Formats: sequence, C-alpha cells, structure tokens
Amino acid sequence: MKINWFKYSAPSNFYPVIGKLIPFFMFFAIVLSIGGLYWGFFQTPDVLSDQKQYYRIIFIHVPAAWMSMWLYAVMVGWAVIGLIFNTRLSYMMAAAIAPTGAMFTFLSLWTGAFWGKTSWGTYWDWDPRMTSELMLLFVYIGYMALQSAIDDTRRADQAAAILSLVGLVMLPIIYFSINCPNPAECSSLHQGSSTQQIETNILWAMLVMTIAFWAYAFAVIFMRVRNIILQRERHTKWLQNLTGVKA
Amino acid sequence: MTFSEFVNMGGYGYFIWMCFGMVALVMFAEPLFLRLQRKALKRKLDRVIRMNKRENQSE
Repeated sequence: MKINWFKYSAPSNFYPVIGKLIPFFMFFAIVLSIGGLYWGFFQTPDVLSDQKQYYRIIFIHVPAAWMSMWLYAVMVGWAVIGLIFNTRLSYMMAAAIAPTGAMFTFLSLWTGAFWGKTSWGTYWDWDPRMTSELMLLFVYIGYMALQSAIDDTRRADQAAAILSLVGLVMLPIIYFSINCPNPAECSSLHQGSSTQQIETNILWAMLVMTIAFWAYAFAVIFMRVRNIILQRERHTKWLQNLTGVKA
Repeated sequence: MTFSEFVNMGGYGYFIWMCFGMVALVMFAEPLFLRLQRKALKRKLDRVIRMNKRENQSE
C-alpha cells in the first residue's frame, strides 16, 4: 500500500483523519496509565521492602521529564519542516505541541521538587539539571509568547520557529548536566540516569507509564491542532462545508 | 496492607500524593479545556457560516 503523505499536509485532509485517531490514543493512554500505576504501586513493594516509598514518584517524574525533552525535539522538527517547505500545517503542529511540552516540563519540575524534598531535604536547588529544565520551561513559554504576540500568523509562525531552533541548545545541556563524560567533574545533585541500576519491575512500570504519557501527548496535541485548524481556517470553504462541524 | 497504610506510603504520603495529584489534575484539565475551546470555536464557525448565507441571500 502506498500512502501519499503530501496529501495529509493539507489541513482539509489531515483534520478528519486525526479526529478518528484521538479516541484510540486516549484509550491507550488511560489503559496503560492504569496498568502502569497498578504495576508500580502493587507489584513492586515486596521486591523493595527496604526502599523508601517516595521512589514511586519515579513513575511520573521520569516519563514527564522525557516527554518534555522529546516533545521539544518534535516541535523543532515541525518548525524546521515549516521553514523549509513553508507548509502551514507544520507550523500548526509546532504550535499545538508547545503547551503540552510546557505542561510536561512543569510536571517534571513539580514532581522533582517533592522528590527532592524527601531525598535531599530541599524543594529546589540551583543544580545544573534542575536549572536547565527550568530554562526549557522558559523557552517553551517564550515560544508561545512570541507566537501570540505577532498578529500576522505567517510571520508569527516563522519567528517562533527560529526561536525554537535557538532553544534547541537546551536539550544537550539538560542531557549532559548529569551525563558528563568525566563523572568527577559532575557537580550535580541530581543522580545520574542509568537504566541498568533500576530494579526490573520499577523499570517496566516506568516504561509503561512513558508509553501512556506518549499516547496522551498524541491525543491532546491532535485535539489542539484541530482547534487551531478551526480557528485559522474558519473562512475556508472546506471547513464550512464539512458535515459534522456544525455544533 | 490496609487502605490507610497505602495512603500513608511509609510516611511519604504527602509528597507522593502531591505529585500524583498534580499530574492527574493537569492531565484531566488539559483535554477538558481543549473540548470547551472546540465548542467555542464551533460556535464561532457557525456564526461565520450564517453570515455568509445571509450575504448570499441579500445579493
């Protein structure tokens, strides 16, 4: 089967297709969340009776932090496609990802603060990992602010796309803030990330939660891009002729 | 394990439920907000369609 991907670069073709996908992604997000949390809360304690209970924050902290960085990379990807091919749908995708990315960044900082209070005794420290993650949140907010500050949609999209490219520098900074080549030079309070040191049940519950968050991200980003299409294309014939749009 | 033991989480209940509570709150609120936004946008689109119809009739 050959799919013509360019067909779906037109909002009129993309809009109905993603509308059908949203319930599936929502369904997967809910089922996997329930499964992952059940695994995380009820299938690990016997294995880890000596471990302090606050480790359970890992099941949402790590997936949220991963999503915050992954969504930024995807957002920049769409922005770059927009800059190269000048397709309006790519810019809409980038704009739809930003708030969800910012939301996950906030959640990773929030959950990290409560975890930090239990294990380090402080909600916040100007540690490289936390500081760089906070800056990622500011970059997301900057992207959204710049995009909404310019009235001309085309110019707003292009300016925000270039800003998102500048912000891309945050991803390696966040990554290397704890994974520096020489551990002796690391001054980070935040522990290093190594999947080998984690107990298998915890790792799997965490990975299930990551897929759940990922499915959730798909669902809400598709919901938002449909809203953006409704907003931006309201004067077009195809949207006005679309049956089912009528409220 | 009793229910209160589960909620207590070995003394770390407050921290754990603050985290999970915030995640649940935000992840319920975001799709809900998007649904409400969609309804408002549909109303706006309906107005545009009605306006166009009226213009066509008056011509």
